[in-house]
Amino acid sequence: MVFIFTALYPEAKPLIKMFGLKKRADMTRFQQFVPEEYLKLMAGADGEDSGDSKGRRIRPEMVLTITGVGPINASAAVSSVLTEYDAGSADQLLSLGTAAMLHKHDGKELFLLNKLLDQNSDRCFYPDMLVETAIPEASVVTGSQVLTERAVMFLDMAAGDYELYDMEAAAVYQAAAFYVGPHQQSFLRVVTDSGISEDVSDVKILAAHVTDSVERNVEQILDYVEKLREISAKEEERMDILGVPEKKAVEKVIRDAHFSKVMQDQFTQYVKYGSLSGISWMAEVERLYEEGVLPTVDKRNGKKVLDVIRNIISE
Amino acid sequence: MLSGTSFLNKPFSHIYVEEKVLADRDYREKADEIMKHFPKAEIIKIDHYKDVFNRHKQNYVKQHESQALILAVKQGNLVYPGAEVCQNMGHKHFYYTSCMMNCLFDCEYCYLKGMYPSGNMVIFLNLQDIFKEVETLLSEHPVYLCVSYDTDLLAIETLTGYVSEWIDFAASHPGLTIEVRTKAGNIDFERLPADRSGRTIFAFTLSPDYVVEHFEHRTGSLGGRIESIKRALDSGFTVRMCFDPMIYCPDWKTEYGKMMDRITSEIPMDRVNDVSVGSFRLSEEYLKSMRRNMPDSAVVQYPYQNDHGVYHYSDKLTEEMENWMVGRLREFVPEDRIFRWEEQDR
Repeated sequence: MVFIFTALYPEAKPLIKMFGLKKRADMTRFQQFVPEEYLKLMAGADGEDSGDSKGRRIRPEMVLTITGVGPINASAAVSSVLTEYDAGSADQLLSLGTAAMLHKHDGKELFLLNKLLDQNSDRCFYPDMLVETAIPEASVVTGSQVLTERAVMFLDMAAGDYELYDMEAAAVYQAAAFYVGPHQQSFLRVVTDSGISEDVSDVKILAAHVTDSVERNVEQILDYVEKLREISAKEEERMDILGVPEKKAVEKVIRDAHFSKVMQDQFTQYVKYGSLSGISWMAEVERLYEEGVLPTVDKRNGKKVLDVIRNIISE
Repeated sequence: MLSGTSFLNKPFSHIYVEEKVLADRDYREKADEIMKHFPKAEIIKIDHYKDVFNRHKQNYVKQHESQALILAVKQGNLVYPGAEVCQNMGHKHFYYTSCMMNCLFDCEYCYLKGMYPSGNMVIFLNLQDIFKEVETLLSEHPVYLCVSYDTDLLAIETLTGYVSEWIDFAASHPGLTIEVRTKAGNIDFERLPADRSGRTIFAFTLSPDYVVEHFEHRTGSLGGRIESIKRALDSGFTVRMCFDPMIYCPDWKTEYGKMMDRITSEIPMDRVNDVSVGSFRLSEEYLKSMRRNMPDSAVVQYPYQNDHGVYHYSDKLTEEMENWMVGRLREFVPEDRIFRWEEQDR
């Protein structure tokens, strides 16, 4: 699953359109957009949590959330959404937004962030840079105020090594770090300005400018999201060692052999290794049923079953 | 076990450099030497290597696929007493040092995957400080020092030149014996300084083709390692063979048998200084972490036996594998030069 967070709707608009996402009407705290199929699936489940063929809760392939502007809003939204969807080790998070340019950068607009400075705490955060991409990299200062042209002059001295300024990146990282690792977080920023001049008051013009800036770079952004989706899908696959029939067989044996908790863990470990090593432990289990060894009458006889399986798979 | 995702960054596409390194002329020079091998790398300035290396919830496996390089200056203790699960090879004053953390190679069962929070590689540039600490120890007693334990120094010798520096240092310090452990193949020993002292031991970990192919990714092949041993002997270096860890695999006796046939037919065993034998063992804490990060690795998911916090094969299998290996070795190596990892070494 890929989680996308943007501060404003105009930043998200081109992606919502390209991915054909639909708004979740039941989410009122933060605006969420998910694939239409997911909404249909959830509607079909009559509001109850439905599971997939492996008994897991169904989650959308992607969810895009509008957090609102600034570090507090961003961290609240990230925390809420990652909790809601129970973010795990196979998931990927993308924080997409706009930023102000602190130093000239060859006229490039879109950047992948490799270093995030929280201006308030003076702490630095480093997302892993695992995905190969042509998008240039940059470092960012995350502050809690809109950057004015005057403030840019100050930051030029105080944070000379940093290229961009935004209001969410470091906050998103810190909130997300409670749920996912640095290898699961990416930060893309489109440069829209070099500090907002204090006389800008037309919000509609600003919003259109932000959308245009994201739209100009949407191909590269989509390409990056596709890569995150693939990484997430592959990781999901890698985590799932036992197929449905194997899982069902494990459950049945655990029940029928009266295994204790420790014995259950041992048995699960045996079959995990057996499956990875191409050892047909299922055939042996079937034989035990045919010979009447399984089901057992008690835990003591269950121990004998455990010994048989161990001998087959490990020595 | 590798993900096979084609769009991941190549190793060392990103190099994190401590500000201390950039501020010091000598460190900076060394860093520049290393970085010039990666002209397209993205250089990211950091305050302390732990800001990157010790982050929460890192995934060793994912990071190792696109391994980043961290150039740093090591502080605090630089030389440590040998760990309990390591063989001291009969040396009383057994120490190890880490002038690098993590390895270019990718052995699935490697304890580094459980020990370190990160899969990225750290190179410490203050080798001279480590030398000073070793000299302090040498003023008290002789020292047997493993310099390539938490890494494989030879794998990146072209980048660092550290093995050469250690050979020269050992040669000029009579009380010091160093061990350089490696799984590298086809090493060019001509490029290393000649060992005038005989106190530099190259320890080659040897595994059957099956184990190399399935679990020791990016390492030298068995043939390549055998070639390295022959070259080391020809260059006058002291050679140790390590059959440690022995890894259980289906039909292990045939696999290890084929390996031993090949080794003993190609290498003059009488010129090998000593050999070590031990089957796989790992602390509970490390294995738990590895099992979490590598659900698809057979060698990690093997149902090991846990005794007092150390996972190992069952006593029966351990005895069988190690006895078999020792038995084969006795045909070629005197008993007193075969070191087997024993319970009392723990």
